[in-house]
Amino acid sequence: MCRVRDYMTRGVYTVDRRATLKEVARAIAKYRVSGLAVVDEEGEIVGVVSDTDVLKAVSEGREPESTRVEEVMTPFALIIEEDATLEEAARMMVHEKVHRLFVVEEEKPEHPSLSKQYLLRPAGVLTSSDIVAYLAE
Amino acid sequence: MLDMRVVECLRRSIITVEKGMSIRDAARVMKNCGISGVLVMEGAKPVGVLSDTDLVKALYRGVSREARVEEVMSRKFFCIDPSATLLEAARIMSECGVSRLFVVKGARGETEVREMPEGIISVSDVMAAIAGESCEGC
Repeated sequence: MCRVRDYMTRGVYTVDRRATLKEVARAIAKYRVSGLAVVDEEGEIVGVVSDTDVLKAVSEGREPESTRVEEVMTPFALIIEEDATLEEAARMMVHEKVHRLFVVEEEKPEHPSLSKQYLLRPAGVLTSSDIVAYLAE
Repeated sequence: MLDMRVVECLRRSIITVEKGMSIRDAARVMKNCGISGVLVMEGAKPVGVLSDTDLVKALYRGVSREARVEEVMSRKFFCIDPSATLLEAARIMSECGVSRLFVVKGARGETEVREMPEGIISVSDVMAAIAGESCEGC
């Protein structure tokens, strides 16, 4: 069985909750990722922002230079255990309609949404690109 | 920024796979090219689009890696006119829930595509424009 731990990316790119959408777009372009974790002043994860969140916001007329990421982010994150299989990860991505899951070492809570204690230090991220890499083997 | 025209930023090299190719080989193309979607061809005719989302669904459904691309691809094409702005491109991507648009004269949204599009524009091109970076169009 192929496990999340073998295909995930270690570490998480973050952006401050007060950053503007322009700064988010710059980080997404720089790191060549499709989403970032949003952190508060203490560095704790308070949500997730994806390129499609930015796309939707600017489509609706929000100004990239003055809109703050906390206004458009998803205020929770989906998590999965390192021990989970890639099939389980794929099922969660399909059901929740997301392209990335935060990976934690501990057992996940019953509802797979943000729980501060689990997301304080996620081990990394599993994205749809990682699933593509697995299928390419 | 977002008032730039699609024609100024589009990528003219579209990565394609054949509809009879295996999922494994198509995934290799996507991985090696660092892209999240490819145009699926039957000879010279576009017949679908294969995205990373389609591949995640394939894994979820237990489809074999040896299955053909045409079994899991989407048959819908979402397009934009080359003279449209990047803001318009962002709107269509957002409305249609896609990460890339094929550039076809006179098209907006879901369109029938019978020949190779002029180019492709993706969400990463829009992000680069918002970030104030120059277009990488080729």
